[in-house]
Amino acid sequence: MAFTTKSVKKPEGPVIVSNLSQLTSRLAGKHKGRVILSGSLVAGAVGSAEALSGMVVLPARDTKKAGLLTQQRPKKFYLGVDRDAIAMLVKAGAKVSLGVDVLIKYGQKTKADELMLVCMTTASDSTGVTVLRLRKGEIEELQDFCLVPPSDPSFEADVISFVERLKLKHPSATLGWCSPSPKPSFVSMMEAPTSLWNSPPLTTLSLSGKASAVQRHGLAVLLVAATAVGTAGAIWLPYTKYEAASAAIKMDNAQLKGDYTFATERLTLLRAFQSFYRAKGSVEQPLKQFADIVYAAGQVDGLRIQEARVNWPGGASNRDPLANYDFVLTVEMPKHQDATVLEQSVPLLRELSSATGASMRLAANNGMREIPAVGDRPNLRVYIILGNFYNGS
Amino acid sequence: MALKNTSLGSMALAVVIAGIIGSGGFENWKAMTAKAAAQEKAVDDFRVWQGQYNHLLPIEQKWKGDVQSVTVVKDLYSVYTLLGTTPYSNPDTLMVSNVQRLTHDGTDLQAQRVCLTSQGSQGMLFEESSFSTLMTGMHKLMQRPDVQIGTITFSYGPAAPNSDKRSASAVVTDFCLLLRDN
Repeated sequence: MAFTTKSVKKPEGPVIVSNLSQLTSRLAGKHKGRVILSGSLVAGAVGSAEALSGMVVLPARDTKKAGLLTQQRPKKFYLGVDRDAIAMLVKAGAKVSLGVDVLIKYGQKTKADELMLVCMTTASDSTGVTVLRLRKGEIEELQDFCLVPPSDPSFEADVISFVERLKLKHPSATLGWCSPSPKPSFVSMMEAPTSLWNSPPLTTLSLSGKASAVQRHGLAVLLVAATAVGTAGAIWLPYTKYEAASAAIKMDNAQLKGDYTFATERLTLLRAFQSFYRAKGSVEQPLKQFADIVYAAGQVDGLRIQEARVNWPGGASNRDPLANYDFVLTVEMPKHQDATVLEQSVPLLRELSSATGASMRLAANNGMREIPAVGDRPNLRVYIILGNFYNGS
Repeated sequence: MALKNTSLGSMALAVVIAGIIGSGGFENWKAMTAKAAAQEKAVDDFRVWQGQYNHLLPIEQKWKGDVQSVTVVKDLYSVYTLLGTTPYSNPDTLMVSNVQRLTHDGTDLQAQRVCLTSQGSQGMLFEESSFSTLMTGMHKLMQRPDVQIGTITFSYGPAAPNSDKRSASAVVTDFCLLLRDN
């Protein structure tokens, strides 16, 4: 394969070189774009690398992985690169790609049945044509042909005849012309875009032919390193949270040190104090109501209070039956001759209840009795009145 | 470092090592996440506790101000002085009827109930010359958080048998003075 030199992307785009003289001038020039090796500088072989003697043989490739001639056996595909070219490129530190990699990449993208003609002028000025059969993302066939040079009068007829033979042999395939050589105007077929040369896969070359340690193990080391970094990062996030929480609790503990110890019992005691105060409640309202009741009783004509008892809320003994009431009044008043003991108590209780708002009743046991007259003292009736304070309801 | 140049052996080894690191890392991540969550919860719990404690702290100060320490009580007379002068009670008849631990809703409040009674009476007897003075004194006494009472029975009558002078008296049952432990 002998490609003509052609820049496919201006001004720093890749440059295709097909022999040492082109490479020498390329490396001597100011152009610093990528170099695509092709033509006599690169050779390929399937199954065995014997045909590549004298060249630096690159590591064998899997044809299936490359999508190249997968129907052939064995499955190894070898590429050889000119030794002097490699020496010049390594010395110059140039970025290198292989023309065949560009075609493989194109083939992998092509799903339709297509014949691609890669045409170039060989070193001997003849026209070299490499025909690639592309189908289903693979390069199924690869053949090289040699036609007369373009300057030959029979060039047009030779090319047309060649194309017609291809059409007869592959009637279902679409023919396509691929740079670097421009498509002759007398043939009608589609053209592969020149842009496919613009981003060729990079290749690192060495005179040993083998990939360097970095190339062979770099990805593996990178994978392990990335996993380790990812793992460390994943653990770091919760670890920082843990550290922050630990620091916060340590700081709080330090602030509170000496004031108290962190214990549930302590809080329970404080809650009990709070509950104790709430339960005690206010003494204002019950005492005022009690005083009002005593005052109201004192206003009843003829009534005398023997005893007035108030049961303090929550304090009375449950054994005392009178403890169920807020207050107990023991009063005495002169006997009404025309009323029974009970009848006399009714207006009294009504009057007291009306005056105070408290509900009252006579005690069930010994709640009323009579005391006979003694000397100057008249007959008296004694009542034990039980009652509850008015609670607003 | 293109994939086509990469050694399959080293790549396989790398996958295995990455798998080990990854799985171990995942376990560590789970453990650390759980630990961090537990620690954060502990901080949250502590903050809640701290907030409640700080909120309730004044209660303790109030308690210490309202309730005298048992250490100030040296004898029965010092108990009597804690009652104050109004309403009046006779120190000569003062007796300690009972001493109990003070509990509230099942919690020991770290204090004692020192229950008092007047000898010859049904409870603690207070006396004043007028009913209004007695009521004022009882009101003052009952407002004290360190005093607990059961019932109060008021009466108004002769100060002594066959006496023209009348006085108001109050007999308080279950009259107890609270004294904190320290």
